[in-house]
Amino acid sequence: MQLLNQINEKNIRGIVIDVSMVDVIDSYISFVLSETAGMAKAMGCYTVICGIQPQVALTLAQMGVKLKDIFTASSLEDAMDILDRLD
Amino acid sequence: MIDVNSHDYDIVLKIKDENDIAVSRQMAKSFAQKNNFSLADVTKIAMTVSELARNIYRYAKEGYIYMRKKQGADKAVSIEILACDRGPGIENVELAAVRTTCCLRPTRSIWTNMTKVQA
Amino acid sequence: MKALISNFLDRISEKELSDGIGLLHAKIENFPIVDVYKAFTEVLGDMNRENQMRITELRDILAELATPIIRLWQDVLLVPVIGTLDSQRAQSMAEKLLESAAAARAKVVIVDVTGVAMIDRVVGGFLIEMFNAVKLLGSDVIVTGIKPEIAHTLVKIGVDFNMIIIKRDLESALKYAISISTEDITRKLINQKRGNTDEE
Repeated sequence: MQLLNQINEKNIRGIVIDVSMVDVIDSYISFVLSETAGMAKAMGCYTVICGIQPQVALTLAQMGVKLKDIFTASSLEDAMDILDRLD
Repeated sequence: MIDVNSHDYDIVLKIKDENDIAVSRQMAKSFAQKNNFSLADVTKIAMTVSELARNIYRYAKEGYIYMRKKQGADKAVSIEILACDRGPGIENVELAAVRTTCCLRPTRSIWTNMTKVQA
Repeated sequence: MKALISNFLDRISEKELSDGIGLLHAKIENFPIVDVYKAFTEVLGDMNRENQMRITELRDILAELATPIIRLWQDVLLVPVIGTLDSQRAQSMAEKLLESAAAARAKVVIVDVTGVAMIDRVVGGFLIEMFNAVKLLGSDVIVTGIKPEIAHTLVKIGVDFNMIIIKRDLESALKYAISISTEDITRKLINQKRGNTDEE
């Protein structure tokens, strides 16, 4: 809720989440992320995650965890690129 | 309640608040690393335990996770993870224990055997 | 005794040796049959263990050889999948591919399955998971060389073909991959220019 208010007030057009330091992403975390991204998207703000570690990516895919409404990028620059493109 | 002898296991974790989920994740991760599982499998184990812990916290508010290393006949090392909680319905003295056995070989893919036991 | 027996086994099969021992036992009194058979079993056990080790070694070599990951172009990786895929190979291929894709910050990963004649549903699902994982790293996945049987299996297991890009052959895949790369480079140059003019 806090985040959504910020997005509204500051007219934020994109969020970049860097998870390169995160070694495990479980289904709950991804659910929360997806939900938040969905709400942000409804307000015209896109969400990009960058820096997912390879073994985390494989585990997520194999456990059937989906990231809805979230774009992924390999690096910070790419994330900015994607956001630029979306506008 | 199923009889679990905590001394049989290498790691015993009590889950009673949200922080315990992260703690159990870390414990699972170092346990797997110590037993020389590949990075991919370490991540899988940590994630599995994280999921189990979260389920315990969300549905039963309190429970235990036990882990131990096992050596199979073919010298394959596996980790057994047991998650115990009392599911909803405790007023009726209806105790549900879920036994989850996850066996992961050090360099191969995850094999999960799930059997639900209701006492 | 064991050396003797393994010498014999180099030349004749175990059945023949076993029959021969039986014959000797019948003809000779006090033939140390138990000791002989004990040694026999031990030798067979040793041979078995050696073979197992050899198999594991070969398997490792196979895994190495069988998953070449080629850096075709800047940010473009090519993975030619060869031979039959079992879950073991598929898993190690997936892990290796993901590590390489992450390390190279690949924008495009081309997976060529021309060399794969058929897959079962399990391995098919596995491949799809691998593609999804690569996408999570921020790369596009192009699959080329899908044979009819594979297409059949993939559709049966309900693959969402919107997740991956499919091209008929390596040529069109490459064309696409390179266009993505150059598109990026042009855009970066434009942004740079824009940045420079902003400063002026």
